[in-house]
Amino acid sequence: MYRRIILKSFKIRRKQIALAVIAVIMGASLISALAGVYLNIEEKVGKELSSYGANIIVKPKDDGIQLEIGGVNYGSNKQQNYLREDELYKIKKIFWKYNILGFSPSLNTVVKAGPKNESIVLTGTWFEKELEIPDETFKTTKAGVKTVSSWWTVDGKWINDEDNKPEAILGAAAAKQLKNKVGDVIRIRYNGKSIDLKVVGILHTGGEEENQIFTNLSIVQDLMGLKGKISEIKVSAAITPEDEFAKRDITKMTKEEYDRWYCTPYISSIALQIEEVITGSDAQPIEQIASAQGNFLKKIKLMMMLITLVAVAASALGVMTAMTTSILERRKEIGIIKAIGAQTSQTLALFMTEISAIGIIGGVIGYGAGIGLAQLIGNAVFNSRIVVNVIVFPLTIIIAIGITLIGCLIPIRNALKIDPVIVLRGE
Amino acid sequence: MDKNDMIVTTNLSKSYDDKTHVLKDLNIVIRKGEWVNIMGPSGSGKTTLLNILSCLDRPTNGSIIINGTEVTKLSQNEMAKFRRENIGLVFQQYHLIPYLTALENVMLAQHFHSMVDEEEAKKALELVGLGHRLEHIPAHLSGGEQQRVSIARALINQPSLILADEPTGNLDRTNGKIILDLFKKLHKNGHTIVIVTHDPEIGMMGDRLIKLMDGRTVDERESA
Repeated sequence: MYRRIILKSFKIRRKQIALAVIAVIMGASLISALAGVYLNIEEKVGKELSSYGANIIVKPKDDGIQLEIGGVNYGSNKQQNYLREDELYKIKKIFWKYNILGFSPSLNTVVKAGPKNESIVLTGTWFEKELEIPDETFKTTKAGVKTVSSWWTVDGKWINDEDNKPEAILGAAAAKQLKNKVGDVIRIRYNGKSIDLKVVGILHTGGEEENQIFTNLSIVQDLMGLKGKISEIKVSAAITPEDEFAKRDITKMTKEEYDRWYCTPYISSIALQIEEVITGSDAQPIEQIASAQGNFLKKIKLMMMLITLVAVAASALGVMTAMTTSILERRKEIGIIKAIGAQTSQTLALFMTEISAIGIIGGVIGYGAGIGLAQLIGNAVFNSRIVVNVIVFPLTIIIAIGITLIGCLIPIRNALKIDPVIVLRGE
Repeated sequence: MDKNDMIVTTNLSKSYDDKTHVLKDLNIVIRKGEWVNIMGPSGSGKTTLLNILSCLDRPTNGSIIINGTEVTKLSQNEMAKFRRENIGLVFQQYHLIPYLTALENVMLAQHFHSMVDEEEAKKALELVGLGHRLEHIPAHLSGGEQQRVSIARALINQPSLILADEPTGNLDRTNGKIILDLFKKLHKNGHTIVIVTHDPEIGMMGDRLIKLMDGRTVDERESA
């Protein structure tokens, strides 16, 4: 019977119902769009924030005292350890593999260069290498300095990782010091060996890297006699801001707490997962960058929540306006059903069924519109598609019904107060 | 109170703002199966009395026992439940839901009472001679037909008491006669009927006529 009443009541009150449904659609579409974006934001903004650079540094575990000046490890008082190049792919196989936005291995040492035999740091690295990742749907990933330091620019050209030619990119300061330019050949001397490298580019980083010479990782490995070895990996990971829980001592966590910590993309849990796959490694978060990224994400999420709240409030107000008019027009009808014996709960049930119907219709249409809106936001802001999480649909429907319910609270309260004696008398 | 009494009011009063006294110490007894008409000029309190007897309104003072239940002690929800189980209401303005068909208007009363039985609702409309107008909405029915739908709705839950407020007030003579014939049939079948009316012709019908003036009973006699 409710179905008949509601269908017919909707038919004759098309205008009011359409207004209420439109109000719900507006709220629901914004909510589903923002929820869709919200659930993608860590990845999307994480990618944007990768321009901040690496936020995890992986080095070999070493019990000795390290001597490091200007980013170059001069060794320790004990035997120098190295990481293995053939294990690098495993970084893209950890639990939070999709949060690894880029990584760059390096091996560096101090060499003599140029006609005056000046001491200078030579860094062997990957620039933008296509790395195969076995047993993963994405099959390959790009790794190298360009994936972690996207703001670096080169006058000339980048070195191609696959060519393995004897080429070098000079930091701007190093080029000035050695008086070299693109096209020159520079002689590098190390431990009695020497190699000639052709300068293909001048590097601008705004940092200490401008004092170094960069070349293919394999060239430095050959020069140092350390085939397949690396001394450092810089990792750029999309992370979630560290909260009080993240800062707890993991050795004192229960199994459930540890699982929760491990399965949250905190920088510390990602660092641990890297240590687990790279033999003999010590992965340390760069706290300054990590916390800047975390805070930025926190602020964006807060802003999105505030926008969502405003959308919910505006939508509920729209529903309230439409439903107040509708209930005013239905005073006599409500008086009749009360006069023929409808109890408060039955009158309420009638309205609740109506509200749910408006909420579901508005929610479903709003969800569809919201997904479209999310894609527009994705393309305009992040230049990529938003992957819609399945949770967004039920969430939108529940919130849409909630919006309708909030919007209908006052009109329903007024409806339940209607005195049949007064309305049936025509007052 | 006698077990044959359907309605007993004792010192029933209704006033608004302590100034306007609409009903003043009314003591009325209506027996089961009786047809009682209530007449009086406008403002005499007859509609207020009918609203109180319908459990739509509450008296300021006094008591009303309907079918053995002291209704003034019931909560709002209990009054609604009592009304749908014991009382059938017929209004001058018919008060049908405009977008529901004749059949659905009758089924609506079933819905709030217990459960919908379409066949029963059809029978009730056939009983009032509207078996051929089941799917018509009120706007497509004449005034007399709408009132007959209203009577079918009042009867569908088999109430022991039927209360009618000017049931023929908006009808022409022919349709008015059809409605009154229906009431006669209901009376014959043992229903207790109370009709508030201005029409002296209706006043002559039934078992008894109560005349109200300024909220008091001024005359009470057996109908002719």
